[in-house]
Amino acid sequence: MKSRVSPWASWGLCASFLLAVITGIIINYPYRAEIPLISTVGIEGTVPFGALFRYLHYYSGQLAFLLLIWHTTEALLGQSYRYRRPFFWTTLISTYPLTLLVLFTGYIIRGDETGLLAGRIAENLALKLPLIGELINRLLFAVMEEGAHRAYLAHVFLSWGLLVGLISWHFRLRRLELQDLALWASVALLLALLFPPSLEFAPLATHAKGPWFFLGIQEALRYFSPYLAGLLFPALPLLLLWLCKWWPKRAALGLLLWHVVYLSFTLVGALR
Amino acid sequence: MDPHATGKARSCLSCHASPKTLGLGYGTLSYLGKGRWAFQSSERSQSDLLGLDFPLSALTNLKGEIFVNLSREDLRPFNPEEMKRILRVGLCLKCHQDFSDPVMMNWRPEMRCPVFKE
Amino acid sequence: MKNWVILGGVLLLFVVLVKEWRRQRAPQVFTTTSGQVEMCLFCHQEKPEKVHAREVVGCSPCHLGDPLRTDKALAHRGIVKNPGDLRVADRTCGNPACHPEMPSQVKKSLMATNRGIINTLRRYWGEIPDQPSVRPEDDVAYLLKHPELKSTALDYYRKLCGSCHLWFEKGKFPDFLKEKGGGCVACHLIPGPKEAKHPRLTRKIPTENCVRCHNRSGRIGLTYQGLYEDEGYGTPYLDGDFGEEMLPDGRFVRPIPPDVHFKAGLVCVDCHLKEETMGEGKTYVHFEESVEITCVACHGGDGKTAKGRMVPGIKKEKGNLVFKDKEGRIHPLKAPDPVKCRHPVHRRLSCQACHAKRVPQCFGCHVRMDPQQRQTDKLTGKETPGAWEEFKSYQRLTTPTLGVKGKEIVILVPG
Repeated sequence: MKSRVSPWASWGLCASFLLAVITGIIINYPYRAEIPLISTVGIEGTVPFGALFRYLHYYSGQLAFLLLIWHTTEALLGQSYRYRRPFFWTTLISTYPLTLLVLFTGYIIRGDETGLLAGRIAENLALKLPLIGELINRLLFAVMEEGAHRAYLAHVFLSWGLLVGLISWHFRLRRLELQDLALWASVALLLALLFPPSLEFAPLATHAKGPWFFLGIQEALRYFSPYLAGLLFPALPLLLLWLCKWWPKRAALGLLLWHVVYLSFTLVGALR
Repeated sequence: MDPHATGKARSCLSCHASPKTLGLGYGTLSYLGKGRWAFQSSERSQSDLLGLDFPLSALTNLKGEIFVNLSREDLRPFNPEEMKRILRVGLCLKCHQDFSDPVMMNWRPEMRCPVFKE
Repeated sequence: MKNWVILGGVLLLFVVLVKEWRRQRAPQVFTTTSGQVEMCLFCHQEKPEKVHAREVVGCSPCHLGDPLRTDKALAHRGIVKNPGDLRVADRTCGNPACHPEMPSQVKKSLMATNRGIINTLRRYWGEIPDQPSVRPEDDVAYLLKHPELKSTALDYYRKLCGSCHLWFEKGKFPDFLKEKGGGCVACHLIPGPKEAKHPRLTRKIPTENCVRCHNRSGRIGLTYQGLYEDEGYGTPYLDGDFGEEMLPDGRFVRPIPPDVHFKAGLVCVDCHLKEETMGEGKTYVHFEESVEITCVACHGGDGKTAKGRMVPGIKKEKGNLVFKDKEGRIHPLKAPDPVKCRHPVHRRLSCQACHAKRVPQCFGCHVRMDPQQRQTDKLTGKETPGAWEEFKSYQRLTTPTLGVKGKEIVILVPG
């Protein structure tokens, strides 16, 4: 079978995700979901190598997400959907929102200003979902009642679930070369050294900003109803992605348009 | 303005017989009779260096000419009429030294002195 | 190529190890009593007074910066040395959890705007119409924003008067100017104990804090304490040194009988209300519109100011009004003399007209500008051409001249 995706990006995605899981295990020890911010600051300020591992965790997670976008784009351009059976295609597409959720809950459980804000918005949006809203919220967020606990569990379980599922059905972990792992670890390390990510502290800010990939939704929420801007709008690209199997041209055009719109919202939100 | 120098009150004479207090500046006041007064400033009436044509300590003169600008619109030196009224009391203070004197305590504007010839 | 990558990776690892080895780790996460993370407390031992206790408030609510970091450079990003500076007061002292209403009021007060000084000066010098009025440009904040606004009077103001307002940056200028200004802390800061390494904030403003500014023109801050700035050049000389006390700015003062209120231990803010000093959110042109304390509020009145506010120090004790000063001492209040003060012939007299026996007066005040020289603009901190110098013909401590203001006989002082 001819490879439709570039190996460097695919193995980079694999390496970054694995790295995020490993560093996650390490910083899990000093982390306490009851005191999210205090323990996160503790990881950075008091634990040996704590800051390093937290930064590595942060950047390998970000890299994994960015490489996932790259990987997906390549797969779509290579028309890989043709070779997937509908059930498998659907399952594969569903890893996309799950990865996003892992990334998102990662922000929530820092317990800082960005995390708290993201958690509150997510909770309110989840509750807007018809029928299953309450359940979803209890599974993933429930930050008002439970603090970071549920988001923490979701973060851990979802990432493990993703790893196990993808290893089982999407790629073979033993084919990951050590040098790929080392290379992508170095990239994350370099980023961590050059741009140490900060916990947001802005007790007086009149408008706190959520995670960067969430800014577009945050901005859209200013103009449209939560139902429209918070649920339908972000669900649209997933639907389009899924539909690529059957109407590739139209779905691809829709995806392109959606991303242009989302990018503009993000830009406006970032400049606020 | 309030100079923030509160203390025992000044003497009667320090107002009622003082050209400095009235705004005439340092100098000598003489009573000419019939309610008329003369004032001789002890300062030079001109200051070439500063380009002023009035004594430095004066705000006004007996004719009511005002020499200086004051910092508020409703602020002014005493006018000649007021000065005469204040100075007239100064002439009484020779005999009726202060408010412990029953004449002072009960004084009304229409009262005339039986001793002093105006 | 591959070797280079490996070398790079090893180097990177080495950098990480060295960085970790040199990193100072905190023994614990520091929090305030309310549970706010405050890693500043790891390094900083400074102890402000009880109201702003380090365990309760922490450092960052006042001094900003990033309290979640332990790395000095990152933690100190955006830090302010003086939280009281009006440029940051909205986010520090005036933050929503602390004193949110104060900064906007203070910024409108005369001590921040200098509106009276600027407006009067420009009117005197014929630069604006001779009617006192509220003009947005007669404001230090405006002049700070518009350094291009130039005129002779403004040049004079910027160079000679520009250090006596609340926008003045504390510590920016040398010598005696170093202690002046600072926004909120211009008044509210007093030195703390040496081991505390942090000054104390207080509501009992000591007189010296006020007199850092209020010592020129009418010299009220000096007169109140029984000091007279004279022309004696420090004479008589004693033991080869000046025989007189010297103010921080080098002027000589000699002792005179102080104000009776000073003798009784009262400080400026015992009489002057917070609405007068910090403003009440209104824009005034002259101080007398802002000042509301009167002599009769305490002496013979009902304890209310000219604006109907109760004087905070006035208390009722056994049916009589007494005055409780900031130190908690109780002072009996004397009513005016029923004959001398209340005699109909003296009905127009202000209390000060009689009760201020001696007032410093400076005759023939004048200024000179030397265009050849340069002088520091106290608002921008930059030297610009033109140096101003003040002169007087002579100065006396003597009975004041009286005059008429509206329907009242008041003291007129040259200067």
